[in-house]
Amino acid sequence: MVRLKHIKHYIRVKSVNEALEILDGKKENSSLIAGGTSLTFRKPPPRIDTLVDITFCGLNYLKLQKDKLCLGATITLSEIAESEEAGKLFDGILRKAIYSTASSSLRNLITIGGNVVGVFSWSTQPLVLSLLEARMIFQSSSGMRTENAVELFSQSPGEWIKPAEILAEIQIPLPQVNNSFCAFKKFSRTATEFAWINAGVKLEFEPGTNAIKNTRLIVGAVSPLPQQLKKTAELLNGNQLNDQLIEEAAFTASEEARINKDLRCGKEYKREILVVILREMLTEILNARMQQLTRVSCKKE
Amino acid sequence: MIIEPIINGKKCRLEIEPGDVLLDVLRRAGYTGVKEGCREGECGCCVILLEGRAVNSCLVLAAKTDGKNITTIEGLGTVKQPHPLQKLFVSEGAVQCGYCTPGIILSTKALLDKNPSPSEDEIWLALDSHLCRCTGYVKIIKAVKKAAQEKSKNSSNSRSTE
Repeated sequence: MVRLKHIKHYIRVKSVNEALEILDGKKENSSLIAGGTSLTFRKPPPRIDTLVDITFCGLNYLKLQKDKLCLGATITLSEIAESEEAGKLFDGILRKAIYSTASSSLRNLITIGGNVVGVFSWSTQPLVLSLLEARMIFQSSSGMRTENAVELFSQSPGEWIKPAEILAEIQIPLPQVNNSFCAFKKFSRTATEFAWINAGVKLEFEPGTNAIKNTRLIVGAVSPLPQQLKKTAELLNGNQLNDQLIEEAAFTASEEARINKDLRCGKEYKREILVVILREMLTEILNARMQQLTRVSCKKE
Repeated sequence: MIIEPIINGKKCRLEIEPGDVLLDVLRRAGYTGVKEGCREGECGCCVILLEGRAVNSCLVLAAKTDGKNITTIEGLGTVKQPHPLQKLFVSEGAVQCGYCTPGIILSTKALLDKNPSPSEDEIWLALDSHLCRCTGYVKIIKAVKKAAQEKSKNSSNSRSTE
């Protein structure tokens, strides 16, 4: 990043209300900053002369409640990944997705809120939050607004966050029963590179069986917004998960996904990668489910 | 604007512009061990410790560091009294041109302060921010492993003398 010459004011606020007062007063000329790493990709336009730093207004928390995990918008990706909760909950995909993001020194700066509102096509967090049906809590001087991640990230990015509004918290509901499994994979040539393609799948099974009750399948980094693959999900729902179904689902997904041009590789290559990573994720879930069912039947005996 | 970070244990008073990048501010203040590379957070040679965590100083606005603890390579050791990590990197052949080395040593320090006995995978993960064109990384990893062993030996020695 080079020096931002047109920035004349840097305000470090101590509360969300203080930030909102400034945004209300100087809407056109001010911009929020948390980790600040995206400034190297998206320099603030010349009309922005004020940066409002919200990293010290109490939004860097992680709280596990009875029914949800609450993440303050300015908690860093490292802090989330290092938490016990990220490793134990949701089959560890929150931690896995974060460790696939950038590098360790960048994860010490990148905040979850910034990663979401930055609307980067390669971001893993919108994909994972959609998969886990997270709720995004926005705050403005006129009150709070809650949006479901799936619906939010299907809209045009310009409509995600309104003027003079702050993304304050992300809430991830905890699974109520033990019949859900999640998996996440990112493909790139090197560990720290932007994703060529990433994907996440969440399967909910009928109790005591291998039959799929509900599927959520999301692909990212192939288009500006994460995509839900509904046709592939319908193929899986109501059926027993086995190798044959996995193969069919993997190929259906590769045909269903809308894939944009990428300088690094062709669309067809990305489709082939999608087949492989979806096959791997569904196989991972199948193995985990079989192990769980085996443990349960051993206990009964 | 004035910021007052604590650099290498010493409270400093620096005059900066709000849009100044920490890398440039530190180098202007004489901490030239913080190296300029890609300025995009890709190469890791500008890595410093901010509140004990390794960060790319090329992506941090200096204004964010008011009142914060910053450690640069100068804060670790000197030519006459090098830090054990610096000595090990030299003795293990983990330094060739040396440009990437300050950042790597600081990331190593952050790792070992938090995790005194890292696995090889954990070492690779902690150093994933850093590019080195010279060494091929093998001797760097070996130096970090040795540093972890020696740190572990020193702490068990000090426990037994107690």
